[in-house]
Amino acid sequence: MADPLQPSQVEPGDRNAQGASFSEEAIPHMDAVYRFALRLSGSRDEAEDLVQDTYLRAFRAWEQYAPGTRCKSWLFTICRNVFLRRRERSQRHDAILLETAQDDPRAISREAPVFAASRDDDPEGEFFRSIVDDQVFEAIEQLPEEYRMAVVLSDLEDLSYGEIAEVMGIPVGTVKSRLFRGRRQLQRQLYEYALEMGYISDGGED
Amino acid sequence: MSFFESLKRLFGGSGRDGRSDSTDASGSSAPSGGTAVAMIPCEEASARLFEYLDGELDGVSEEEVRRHLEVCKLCYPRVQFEKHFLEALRRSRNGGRASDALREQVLRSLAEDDARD
Repeated sequence: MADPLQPSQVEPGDRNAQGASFSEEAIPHMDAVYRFALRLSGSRDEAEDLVQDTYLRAFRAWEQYAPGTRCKSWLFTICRNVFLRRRERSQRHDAILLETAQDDPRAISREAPVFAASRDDDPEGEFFRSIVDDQVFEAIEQLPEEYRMAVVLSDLEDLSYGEIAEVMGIPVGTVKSRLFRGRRQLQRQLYEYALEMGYISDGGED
Repeated sequence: MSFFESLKRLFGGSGRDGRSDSTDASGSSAPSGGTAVAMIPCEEASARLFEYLDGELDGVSEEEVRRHLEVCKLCYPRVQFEKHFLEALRRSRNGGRASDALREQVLRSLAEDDARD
């Protein structure tokens, strides 16, 4: 059995400088692409398949990659497309209703129902500190796909609004409303957890 | 939070004229040393809060929010709340790495693909 291949030993596309830079520029993002794929699909096996497919496509299209753009965003774009195409193929497009996607992001930022609800018992949201990673992971998984994508790209992978817009193929305004909506929904979910776990009291009485 | 504070929260900062409703409501006054940046109301600051925390506002807009948050006692808990939330998200990010087996598989398939043409 061969030793685990090191990027330097394989050097896909050895024959030209572009290929060599694929190893240097694209391969190091594999953890990030894997995490993204895992968040999208919710399954390790599917995530691994997605990563394979993404890298193969990226490798074949490497000439179209415009240097100067962020390689990580480019790989995410491909990964998202591969994921959506597979999904379309498997289940007949479960038409997530994004009727709120066009909502005013400013209004979503302004209104904070969970903050309002927990204000009496925990005005500064200390309960978020007690929430364990698994709960966050699970809550993210339950978000509608398009919100999930925006939240993951922003809050877990540090992409800017502009970069997310590119990956998702939507305007920046829509990125904001999906991201902010997703965050509000997550807050609701995590607040429910916190109540269940007794991190905060229900504040029913006064 | 007292009932009075809640009332102030409800009624404070509803002015949209960019004047000083919010600072009245918060019981604070604008920073001394008259500046060109107008004091924005609480409502406006919270409308831009996520963008502010994400570092996505441009110079003037960011400065307006920053100044407001510096002096507004009413907005303080809200900012802490959003920060604690975003920290919880960021903390959970170490979720998974590509395994060595996957890495190997990917590199191998690229090498095969490369050899093909």
